[in-house]
Amino acid sequence: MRKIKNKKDGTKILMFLIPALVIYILFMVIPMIGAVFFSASEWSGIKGTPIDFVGFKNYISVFQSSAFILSLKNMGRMVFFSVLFHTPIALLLAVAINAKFRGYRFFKAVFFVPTIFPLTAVGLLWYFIFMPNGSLNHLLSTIGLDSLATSWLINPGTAINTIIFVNIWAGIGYYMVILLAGLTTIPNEVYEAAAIDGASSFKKFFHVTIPMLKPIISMCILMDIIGTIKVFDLIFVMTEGGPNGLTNLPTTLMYYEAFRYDNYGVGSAIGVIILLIALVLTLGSKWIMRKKEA
Amino acid sequence: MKKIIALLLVLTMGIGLTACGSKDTSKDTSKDSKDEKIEIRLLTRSAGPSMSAQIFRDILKDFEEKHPDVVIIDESQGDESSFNNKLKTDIASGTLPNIFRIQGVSNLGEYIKNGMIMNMDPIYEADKEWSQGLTEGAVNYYKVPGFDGSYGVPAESGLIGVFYNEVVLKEAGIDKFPETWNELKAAIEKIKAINKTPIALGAKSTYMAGHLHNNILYKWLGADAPKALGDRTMKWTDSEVVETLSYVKELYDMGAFPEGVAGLSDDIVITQFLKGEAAMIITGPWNIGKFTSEEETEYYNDIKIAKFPYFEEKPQFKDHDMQSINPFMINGKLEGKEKEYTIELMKMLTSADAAKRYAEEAQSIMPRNDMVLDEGSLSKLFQDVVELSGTSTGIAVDVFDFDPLASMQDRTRNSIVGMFVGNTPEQAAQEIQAEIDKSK
Amino acid sequence: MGVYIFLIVMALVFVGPMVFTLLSSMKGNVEIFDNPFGLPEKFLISNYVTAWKEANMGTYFVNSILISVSTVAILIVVSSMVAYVLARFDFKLNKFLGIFFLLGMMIPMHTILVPVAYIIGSFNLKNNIFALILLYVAFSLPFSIFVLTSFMKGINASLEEAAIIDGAGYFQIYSRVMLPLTVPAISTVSIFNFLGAWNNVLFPLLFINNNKLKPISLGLLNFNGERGSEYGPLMAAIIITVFVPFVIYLLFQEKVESGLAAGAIKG
Repeated sequence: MRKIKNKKDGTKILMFLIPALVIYILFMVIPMIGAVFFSASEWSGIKGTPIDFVGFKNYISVFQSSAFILSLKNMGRMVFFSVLFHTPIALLLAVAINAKFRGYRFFKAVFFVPTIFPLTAVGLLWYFIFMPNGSLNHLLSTIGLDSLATSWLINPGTAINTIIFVNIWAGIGYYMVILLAGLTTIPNEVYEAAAIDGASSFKKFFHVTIPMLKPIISMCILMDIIGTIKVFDLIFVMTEGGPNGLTNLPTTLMYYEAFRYDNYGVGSAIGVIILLIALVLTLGSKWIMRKKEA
Repeated sequence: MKKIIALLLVLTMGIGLTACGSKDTSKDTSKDSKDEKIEIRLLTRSAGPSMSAQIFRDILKDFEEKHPDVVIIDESQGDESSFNNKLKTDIASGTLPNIFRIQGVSNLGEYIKNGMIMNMDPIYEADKEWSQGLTEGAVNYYKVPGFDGSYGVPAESGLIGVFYNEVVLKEAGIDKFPETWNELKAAIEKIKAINKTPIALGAKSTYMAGHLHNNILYKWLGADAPKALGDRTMKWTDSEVVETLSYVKELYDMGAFPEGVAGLSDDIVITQFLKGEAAMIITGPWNIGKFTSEEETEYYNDIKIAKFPYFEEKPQFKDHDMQSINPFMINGKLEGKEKEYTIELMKMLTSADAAKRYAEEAQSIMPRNDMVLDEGSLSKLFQDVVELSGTSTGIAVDVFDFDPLASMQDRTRNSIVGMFVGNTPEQAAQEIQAEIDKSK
Repeated sequence: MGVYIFLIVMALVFVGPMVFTLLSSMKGNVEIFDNPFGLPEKFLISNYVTAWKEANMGTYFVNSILISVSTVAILIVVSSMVAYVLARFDFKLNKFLGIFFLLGMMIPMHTILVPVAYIIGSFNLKNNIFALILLYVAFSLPFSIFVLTSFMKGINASLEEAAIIDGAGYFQIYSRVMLPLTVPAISTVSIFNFLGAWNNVLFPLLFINNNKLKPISLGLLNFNGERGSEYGPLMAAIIITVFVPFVIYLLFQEKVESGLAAGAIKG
């Protein structure tokens, strides 16, 4: 690292920074401020009509809306179950693949590929499988498990869970690959030492693998939380938030409020709330991780 | 070094795209340049592969040929979300197209106040040959409460009734289509007995549930009910309105709809109907093409139309029907030659000649009373629909058309679908009424 | 072994839907419902032709390529310049800038949808592809700067020193020394952001309505809305949409995975 010697140097450095700064400020920072501003206003979406300042009114009406509370609950469930299943299953897959059995490359590819597909395609794909007369129910009836067949995406008991399943399907390969890389950083000697101490595979897993992967695992969980909060495409394509708002998330709700019902202020308020939730959860998880380490 | 060249190459591409991008923007602002061609932009739902969309595009081409100083930009979208998004961004940027379409009537108030929609009355006055050919009921539908004048030109209309498969009904032992509600219920039981779906409904496409309720509402409370609900003289939680919701629920509880109705899209249930797995479907004239096409269904000669059954207790509403009316609106801020041409294009799209083409080639109905149709080229089904459409004594389109709140379209439809996943009619009514109360 | 069974079951869950879609893409409408799991009777390549030509998937495909490539190009140039400064120069605002850019990672695209819509309206940026690209770049800056900076920090300073002795200026050090050495991280960031831009639907949904300019992810949505009942071509459209990401993965498999891991671990 070197220090900036003089003003001329400083100017040169600035040139390096300016393009990124301009783009970032214009397209990220200013809209961010705009979002807060809009969240405290009312606008009908027609050019030239006034933007009225209304203070906290939008936030109050949002929190009073049962549709929003339901979407928050859905989001909570999604985050909870995603974290619960994403990382552990990804870890198991990573460990299994790390053992380098025959054909491990094939498996690695199979699990990773869904993560790079556009979520709209993924959503459509699974809609056809889960729809009431779709292939899953068809399959169940051919193998005689008729009783299990249900309308997966509209049954209040299964709707959100089905979407959570698809979300996990679409993301697990990503975490698996990260964990896999992490696994390769654990030196074999540690495992050998544990084996000498008489540890079984089980014990090795829990007492060696997991502790050594802690930082990576916590990072995966963090990314998972933020990623799940942002889910939009999936819901939009599979259920449009229905039936009757059953599977809405704050993200889809926000889109409808702003762009279908012309409540741009309310929509913005929801957008800001989503950001706050992301912040809180991120800082919260970091804090929990730190506590656990101590 | 190679990397830098590669990067530069791509950057150039990026700059090239900028040129493309800004060329597009400059198009929007060049309206007043005299040596440029006059641009007419349209945003409608007529897009995609259907016959009627093709006729639409043909007419646009004819207009361009007739006026070489005009260039037509057709931004129409077939997909509802894309259409809505486009419309909303246009409204937000103040760049409404010359000819467009907005669903609903009372919600037009805000747009009329801002001068965005042209009042058609003077145009109707000035060209009676054209305007008097338009069906009066359809024209009057677009008189917006609270404002003087008419704000939409009806371009497509037709009865939204029950299309039924005669063969399937006969198989179930039904010789005549049920005329009353009680007869309908009896028919549903018979159809269930032969293991077919009585009514093909796909409530994932919420409009299907909405249309069913509309039909029931108009037969129970008359076609003026939407106006009463819209100006708040009637509430959704009033007992007679809740009754209309209960009738929908009754059908659901009877098993009239396919399994998992709330999760099925309209495409899927239309396919079921075409395959003969369902006996009836409530839809409009836009599907006549499919119902009479040998390629699409083996029942192309067996699909008939009937009005939605009426309630014996309310014979006065026997011919109060739901019809579809699709309008064209003209941008209220046009001036000069552009305004002239746009109005001319509008008339061309809704002329008696156009009506004839739509009817004969696309089996689509334009609300004109001066069409000279070649009966030989029209399917019997189409002729029946036109005939039935003409017998309505009261017409309404969607119940939320006269509600000033833009959110009512989704709110009403979602709450109706809510009844298919556990809501009671009372709960549905409360949900809808709450939305109205919230906005006060 | 138990592990193998576990893997195979999981693989079925993962591969099954994709195979199903692929098979369905070559069947006719009726066949898709009557015979969902079997091989197609006739391999209808016509579905692909319909999707590509009539439904404009071909145009959307090209658009997406242009958009994604431009996004990556601009992103790499712009973020690597920042990374160089942050990694190699010690000055007061260094830490602040790092955090400033990093915070952006937490902002969901949704939060700024409304102000962006307003800006698009006020400045008439509808259908402006360049604005769309810059939006993508802005959102990719945090991750990109983060990864590139950590990587550059790990580069041995001696090479730089040598260049300085030879009289090289900052820009030359950046372009001749740092960039070439940072290629692994650049590849990863490029691939990731290419995919991100390819798959993004939210921003185009909002302000690209000109059919000739739509990217493929949005095109797929439109296809479903406009012709949703043509199931065969719809499945074909899905396959076309995922085709490029899939090919990129096959070609750059190692880079994608190692870079992902590297960025993650260093973080």
